[in-house]
Parts: sequence; structure tokens; C-alpha cells
Amino acid sequence: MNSIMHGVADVGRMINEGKALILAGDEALLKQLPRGNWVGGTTPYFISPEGGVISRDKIFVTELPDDVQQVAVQSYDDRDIDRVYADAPANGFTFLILPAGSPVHLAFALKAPQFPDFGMRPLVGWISGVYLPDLGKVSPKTLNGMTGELSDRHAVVMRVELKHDRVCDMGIVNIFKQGDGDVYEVFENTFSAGDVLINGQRANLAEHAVARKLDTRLPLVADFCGAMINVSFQSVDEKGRMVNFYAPLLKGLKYRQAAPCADYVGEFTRQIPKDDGHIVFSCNCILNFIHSELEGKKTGGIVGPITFGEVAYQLLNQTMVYLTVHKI
Amino acid sequence: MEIPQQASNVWADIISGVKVVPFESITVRTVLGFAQLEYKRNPSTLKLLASSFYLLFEKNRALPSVQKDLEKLLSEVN
Repeated sequence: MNSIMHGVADVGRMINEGKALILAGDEALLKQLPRGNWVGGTTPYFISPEGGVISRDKIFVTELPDDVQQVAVQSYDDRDIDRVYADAPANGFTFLILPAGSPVHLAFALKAPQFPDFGMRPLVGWISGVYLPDLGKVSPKTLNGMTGELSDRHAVVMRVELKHDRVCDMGIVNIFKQGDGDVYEVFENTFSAGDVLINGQRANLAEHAVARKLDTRLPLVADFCGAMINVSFQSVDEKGRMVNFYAPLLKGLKYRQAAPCADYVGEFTRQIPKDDGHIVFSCNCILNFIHSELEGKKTGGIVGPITFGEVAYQLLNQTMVYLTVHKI
Repeated sequence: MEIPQQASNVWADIISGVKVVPFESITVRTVLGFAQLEYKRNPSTLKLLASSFYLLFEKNRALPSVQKDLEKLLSEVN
């Protein structure tokens, strides 16, 4: 992986040399950078080569490799994010960063599968966030390096076209598996659930979560054609009788809460791809960072930003997403 | 590897669950997952969904993980 943490001056130099970069860092740092071939999102959490770290004075830099033929930077809001798949290059990938909690984040999370050409070209990315003590005071942002625009309502996209003899691929690492507890189903796609079906019977999910003392560090998990797809708990509002999530629960899927995992790092290391030398980008979830206490810990050779949601075609939670590039 | 023709029944059979193939790539699993959800909601969309599922393989045939899944699909067809 050609990813490492740098100070603002070093990153500015790389941008001025014309390098194509994907950046993650504190807003105060990113907005000092010159214009160029880059996209960025805010987060001060990272898995660095030295292990999990919180840094407000370094930027995590993913430098795109020589396999790249051409890049283009674009911005979308909630009115035109539906073009995000259709505008993708024929041989390459799309890299997407969405600001957490923004209308474009919600539109993507809820409607992506209905967008034209959904899933037809590789799309990977993450949700930008903030330093957790600043939650509610500072909004997550994205930066379009080409225009210099800092935004809390625009997604930024880097379209990456690969050389003709290169091909990309992508994957996820999710250590969570469905447990053998209750089955949850929703009546509509939603980030917030009140009444749901629990084992086929209508019941209130917030009351159930409190009564059963659900460990909300463990996500709800759906089996999606063999891929385990998590939806993470955000909060249980007992008074309002609602449970809020970081991604939508989807109508038609059967969810179970994940089985506990005692050793996140051990299980993660067992699941990371054997050919991790091909990985050009990866990111992992802030909830894994917190609940699995990843600060100071290494996760194999995998490094990258710690994010407020991950994207592998669709929005994911508590999942590591990675992108690889191979020579044909 | 030859991809089964767009008109082949295999695409619709996989979406409708008549054939079950243990796909592994996140690309195939994601698109198939949403196709199967949509099929459950509205079975009349099967032909359109099958066509999109074929196009997924056609457009992503160079991806290593999709190639592995194509092998699985072909072993199911043959």
C-alpha cells in the first residue's frame, strides 16, 4: 500500500508535483492544501503503519499508483448523486467520500440500489467524520481538491481510469457473523426503527433492546447472498421508542444481532486477504476502532483512515473495505 | 471464459433462487442481493433484473473475483 501519514507541507508538495491523492485528515489541515488532483474527507482517526492513532496534525495520504491512466474529480449533492455509478470509467474505479449525516449521505444510503448502473463498475469509499468530542459542534466535511471547495453537503468523487493492462478489484473484511438470537425485519427501508417484526411478531425494537439488554456494540447483520452486511446501532431512544442506526435497515432482509467476537485483531488478521500487497486503499470503521480498542494496535499490514461508514457499492458499517489493482 | 448468453435462463434462475451458486465476490453478491430483494417485492421485474445481472458479468469480466464467480456459475450451468 502506498499510504502513509504526512504533514501539511509534505502533502502540499506532493499535490504540486501533480500526484493523484486520496486524503483523510482534520479539516484545519485539509483546507490549507493547494488545488490539484485530490479528494479529501475529514477524520482524525487512522490505522497507521505503527497502529491505530488519533492525529490532528498529520494527513493520511493514499497516493494512487503508476497503474493510473487518468483521474477526474467531481462533486455531487443529493440531487445528482444518482449519477455516481453511471458516470464511472469503463476500466477503473470510482472513489467516493460522503459527509456523515448530510442529505447526500442519506440519499446514497437509502436509494443507491435504484440508481442507474448500480454495481456495474467498482465503487469504493468512505463517510467522513469528526473528532468524537466535537460531535454536534463541527460538521463532517469533504474537500474537492480540484476546486478547493470544502463542503458538508457534497460528496466528492475521484474517477480513476487504469492503464489498459491493469484491472482493479475490491473486497470487504467483516469479522461479524449472525448470532443465533432473534430475527428482526422492518416494514420499510429506514435509519430509525420503532415497531418491527421480531421473530415474525410485531413489537417495538427500543423496548425490546432495553428489555433484552442488547449489547449495542454488536451490529445487526443480514446475510446478503453470503456477504454479511452490518447495520450498526447509533442510539436507543427508550422514551421516543425508536432505535437509530448508522445505515438503513432494508425491508425484505432478515437481521440477527452479531455473535460476540472476543479478539477483533486476531479475527481480522485471519480474514485479511493473503495478497495484501495489491491493496491500494483500505478503510475501517470508527466503531471497530472504539469497541475493539484499536488505538496503538496494528491490523496486519492494513492501514487507512478510520471512518464513519464504509462504501463498497453500498453503505456499510463496522466493515473494512479494500481496493486492489492487478496487472493483467 | 465464455459468459452464458443474455437470453440464457441461468440469470433469471439465480435471481429467483431456482439455482443457488455460492458466489464470493462482493461485486456479485451485492448486485445479486439487491436483485433478489427486488424480485421478492415485484416478481414481474425478473426479466429486467436478469438482464442487469448478465451485464454485471459482462462489464466486470476482467475483475479477478468476478472471474472466480464466473467459473462457479459455469460449473452450475454445465
